[in-house]
Amino acid sequence: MSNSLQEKVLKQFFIPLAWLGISILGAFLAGAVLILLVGVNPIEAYASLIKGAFGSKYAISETLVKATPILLTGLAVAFAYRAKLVNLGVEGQLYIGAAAAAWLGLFSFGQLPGFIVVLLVSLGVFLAGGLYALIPGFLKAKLNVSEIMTGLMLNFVAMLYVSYLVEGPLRLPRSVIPRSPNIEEVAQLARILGGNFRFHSYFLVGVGLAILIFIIFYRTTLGFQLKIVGEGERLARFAGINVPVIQIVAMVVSGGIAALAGYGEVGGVHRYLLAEISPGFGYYGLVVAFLARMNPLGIIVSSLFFSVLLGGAETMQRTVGVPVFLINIIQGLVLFFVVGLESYRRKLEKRKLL
Amino acid sequence: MSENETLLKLEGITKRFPGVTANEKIDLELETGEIRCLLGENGAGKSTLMNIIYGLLQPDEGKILVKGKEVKFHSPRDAINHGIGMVHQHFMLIPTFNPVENVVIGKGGTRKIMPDIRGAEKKFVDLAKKYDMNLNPKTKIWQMSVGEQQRVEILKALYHGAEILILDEPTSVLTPKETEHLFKILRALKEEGCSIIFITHKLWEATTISDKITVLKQGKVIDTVETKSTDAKSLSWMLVGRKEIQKIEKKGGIEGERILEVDNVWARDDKGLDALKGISLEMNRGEILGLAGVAGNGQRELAEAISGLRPVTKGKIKLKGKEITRCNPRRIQKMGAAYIPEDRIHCGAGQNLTIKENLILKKYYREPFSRKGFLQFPKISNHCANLIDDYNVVCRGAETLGKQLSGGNLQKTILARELDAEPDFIIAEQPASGLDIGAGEFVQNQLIKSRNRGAGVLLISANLDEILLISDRVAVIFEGRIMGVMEADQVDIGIIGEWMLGSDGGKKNAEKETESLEEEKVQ
Ligand SMILES: Nc1ncnc2c1ncn2[C@@H]1O[C@H](COP(=O)(O)OP(=O)(O)OP(=O)(O)O)[C@@H](O)[C@H]1O
Ligand SMILES: [Mg+2]
Repeated sequence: MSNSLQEKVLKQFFIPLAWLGISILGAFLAGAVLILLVGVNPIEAYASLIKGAFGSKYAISETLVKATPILLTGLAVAFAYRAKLVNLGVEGQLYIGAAAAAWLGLFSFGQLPGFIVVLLVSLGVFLAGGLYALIPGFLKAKLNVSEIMTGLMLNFVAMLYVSYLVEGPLRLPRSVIPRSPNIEEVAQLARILGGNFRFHSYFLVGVGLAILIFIIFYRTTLGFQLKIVGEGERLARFAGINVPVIQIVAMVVSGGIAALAGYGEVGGVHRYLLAEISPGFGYYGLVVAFLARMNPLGIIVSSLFFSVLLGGAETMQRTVGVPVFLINIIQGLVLFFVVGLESYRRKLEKRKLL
Repeated sequence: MSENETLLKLEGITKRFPGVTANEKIDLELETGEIRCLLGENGAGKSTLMNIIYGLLQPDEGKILVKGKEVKFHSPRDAINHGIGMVHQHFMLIPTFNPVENVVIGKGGTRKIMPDIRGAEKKFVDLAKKYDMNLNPKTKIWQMSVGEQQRVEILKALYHGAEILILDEPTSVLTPKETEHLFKILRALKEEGCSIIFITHKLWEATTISDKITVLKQGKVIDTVETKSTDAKSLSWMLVGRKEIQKIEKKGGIEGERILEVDNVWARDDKGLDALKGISLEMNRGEILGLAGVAGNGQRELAEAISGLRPVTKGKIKLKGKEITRCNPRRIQKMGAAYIPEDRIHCGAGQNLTIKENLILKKYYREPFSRKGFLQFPKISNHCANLIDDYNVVCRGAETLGKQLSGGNLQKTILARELDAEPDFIIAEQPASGLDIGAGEFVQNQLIKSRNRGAGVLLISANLDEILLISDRVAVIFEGRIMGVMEADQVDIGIIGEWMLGSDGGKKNAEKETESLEEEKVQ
């Protein structure tokens, strides 16, 4: 029994991790060639990248700040994907979450202690995102409309809605860039490393959620039902599972988690709502979830990795003059290598060389 | 067939999967124009060996020689190029295409952007005519019977120039009539110099159609014999190595209460057409009711309607006296109903689920398998280990995935799940299909045991022999209607046969005619 457990851990965790490492290495080597082409020493460039991401306490804090929404939206994607639903709407749910956080955060909470307020706002934000994701979820479950299309389209609706909020009803009077007023102090998320650093408590919430989702996936009847629905609707119906209900639960929970990322940005990073609250964190979330093969614990690692790339990129541009878009290319290359090596690995597996 | 040259030769083929050696040092020689039969228990390695020849799997050791030359297949395309074709047990046709489209652009077809469909159609029709397969090249696959689909698969292989045709359990989905038709085709192919490898679990098929028989056991070749010099008895001895299992006797005379009542039930099939047109049936406890009929006459829809998987448009179903017409599947399961579906790939079991997950598919939510929403793995593991043992599922452990199991062992997993809870009412669709002799008898015994303890068993099969073997009563279904019911000990095969084809002396025919006349009027 323990033998097969070891084998399972090895198979499900270390071998994929090793392959991920190889993919990343390959991407960086290919990226090095490109950096050479723009006339920069790649070693220097990468050194500045690392320095930009980890060089100081501030840099580390910023890296983790970027990792937080990516981690949360990544988890959201993985949750829905357990039932083989592709939640492309995480970006929109993040925006709705941010809007809900700004709105709730402007209430006066009287004498309530901070953590209760944060809990209440989190709950409200989760519900808001969940309700927003209910639209594609319901359409999928009841009418079999592709959740991919509806989710994607609702992203734009949510973004425009937030623009409307910060330019209209929630606008801070006389602000240069349209933004909302700061939310109440009790509703703000704690900055763990002190006021000078934007690193906030929701990163830890994200890590906690990853562990929780891992447990849900592999230890609970809910996780089991999600998996069966993902395996096939006919099979799930045969097993007596109420397929539409499970599909809706998958989407709603996923949307709720994605919305929390919005609260993280409003409550932890900015303290207020602005139109460009996310530069596409949700899409990064999709990528990191895919990179981690939808394993919640793996998403912690892959989201950190992507935030390092994002955080280090600006420094790299500033210090050695490598344009930021090269980093985007390297991100693309990582994906490319992961996908390519994955199919190569399958082939090897088939030929029994592994 | 004048010169008996070796067409295909395997030397020392070995294939290991983690934990099992599916094929071990297999040697095999196939001559031109030979029909070879492969026999072996579930999990003996037959399908694996065939997949290796067809290029779907690569051997760990050993050589494949075609016409004396060593070949290495990296994919089925390589095998097809060397004149090897295969018909899988589960067809790989695209349902919304017609046969010609499937042949030309389906799996293993051309990669050209603008294939010559017209020319292909002509070649296809000529081939079909040559082997006396009446197939309409314009009919879509989903509108075809299983037998027809199989013929399309065979034609597809021939179209691509197959000289060696591999058939993996082709008869497990066919009625006896269709099997005979298939045999005729195979003999014609043999005349043309085609060589055939044929897998089956039915001994009489092996002795009827083949020239030579190879018996596999636990991945090794036990023996290859000339069909002429052997018989079913010695084959079964070779296969099982012991005398046949004792059959459990039916304890007669349980005058059970009514367990199932189906009253004038209508339901639609997946295409939205009426598949059940006023079915009425009654069953008592302690009874096995065999439902005979050519596949596709509403059997699946009836089973699904009773299990709550398919909406009933009209009529009533009662289980144990309670109406269940609109109940959901779980409610019906909880009332003690089990369902062994025919489609084990999409419905009965999950290919990417472990045996463990497949075994608790219907009871994960119950104590002791879960408590307060948490799965209780020690309990589950224990339970599964017992079931694997009891039902003799050959596997590497409870973590084996469905797709890694041999066909028969997947079926045993389903049976273990459905029969373990001592259900009061069982729907069994072709429960023994794909099982080896031992396992097939085991299942029959299991059903008889259930009957003896007072369960009702609705046994659905296209194979009349299977039905007559254990049923107490026999009903026949045709085009969504019950043609008639007979006591098993008074069965008249002639009448049953007529019922299966939809005729009932003069009376029902007349009815049907007036009906179609009315239909015409409506139009
Ligand atoms: N992809 C796979 N991974 C792991 N094990 C496998 C895989 N495919 C087959 N096996 C194992 O190899 C053995 C032989 O399987 P195979 O499908 O060849 O049996 P078979 O003779 O066709 O049986 P059946 O009559 O039940 O179809 C079985 O023990 C099976 O579990
Ligand atoms: Mg097989």
